[in-house]
Amino acid sequence: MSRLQRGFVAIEAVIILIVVAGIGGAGYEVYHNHHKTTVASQTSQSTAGKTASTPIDSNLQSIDSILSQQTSGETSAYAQNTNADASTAQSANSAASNVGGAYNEADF
Amino acid sequence: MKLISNKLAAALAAVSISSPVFALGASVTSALSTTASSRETSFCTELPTTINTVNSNISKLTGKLNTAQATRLSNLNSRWTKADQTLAADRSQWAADRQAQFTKLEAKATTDSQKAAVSTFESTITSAINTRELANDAARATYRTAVTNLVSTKQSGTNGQVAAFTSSVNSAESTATAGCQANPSSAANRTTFQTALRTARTTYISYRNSDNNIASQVKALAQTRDTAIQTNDSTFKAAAAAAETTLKAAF
Repeated sequence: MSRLQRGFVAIEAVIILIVVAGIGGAGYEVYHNHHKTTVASQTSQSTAGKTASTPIDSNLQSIDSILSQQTSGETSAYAQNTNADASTAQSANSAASNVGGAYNEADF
Repeated sequence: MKLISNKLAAALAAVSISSPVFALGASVTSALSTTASSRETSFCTELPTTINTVNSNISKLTGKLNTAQATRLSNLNSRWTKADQTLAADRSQWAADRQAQFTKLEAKATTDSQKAAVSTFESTITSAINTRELANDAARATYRTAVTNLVSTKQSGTNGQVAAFTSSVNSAESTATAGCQANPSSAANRTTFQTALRTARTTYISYRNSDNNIASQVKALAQTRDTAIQTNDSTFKAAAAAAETTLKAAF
């Protein structure tokens, strides 16, 4: 094998090594990114699982809604009548004051 | 000479024009004094009619007052009864809705411990609701009793003021009647009567003005009631939250 031929083979080998290394690096990068995404997703799912609803949460929300409704209703059942009660309580006051107008002494 | 005669003519004309005015003024003055005089002289004659009119007016206005007082209590009780009926219907609906959710909750319990936890939760919530309803009812009953007592007290006070006013008027009437019998021509009969009536009315109005705060007192009682209901709500919410936490731990 001539010196020229040996040199060509060496250059081919270097080129092949570079190509293989590039493909390998790219593959690693793809794998690494994919792995990161997967891990992040699994972590997220795991965290969500820890704070996630129990099987009865929707029931409890419905019960809470009913209890809140009753709380509001119990409070407003009579509070809205307060002004009416006050007004009714003093409704006889004008009639009482009118008694004082039974006469005008200047007319006598 | 001519000038003097013109002035004299003008003076005579002025006198002739103004004399009817003076005559009219004199007649008005005479009429006024006659009216005042006739009132004084006719006072005793007209006193029975005057007394009858005054007493009739007082009786009529007192009757209207009594009606207003009765209507007031009736309206209060009517409003409260209606509110009770509405609340009772609402409570029934809330209980039915709650029971429907309890049933769904029971279906989610698969293990014995979960079933026991649901059962405990239901009884805890139901008990807390009953406790709150009773406490709220007690707060409302306290409010109503206080308002009813307040209205009754005010009514008694007002009726006492009316009685004192009527008594003062009757006393003035008696005094005037006695005065007219003793000395029918005395002008003092009329002035004494007028003064006594004015004093009676002024005293009554003074009482009324100092007794005009029932509305604010009712609102203060309502505030006490609402504060008690808010406390009941806080107690209930704490019990319900604790029950839910305990229940969740079983699932």
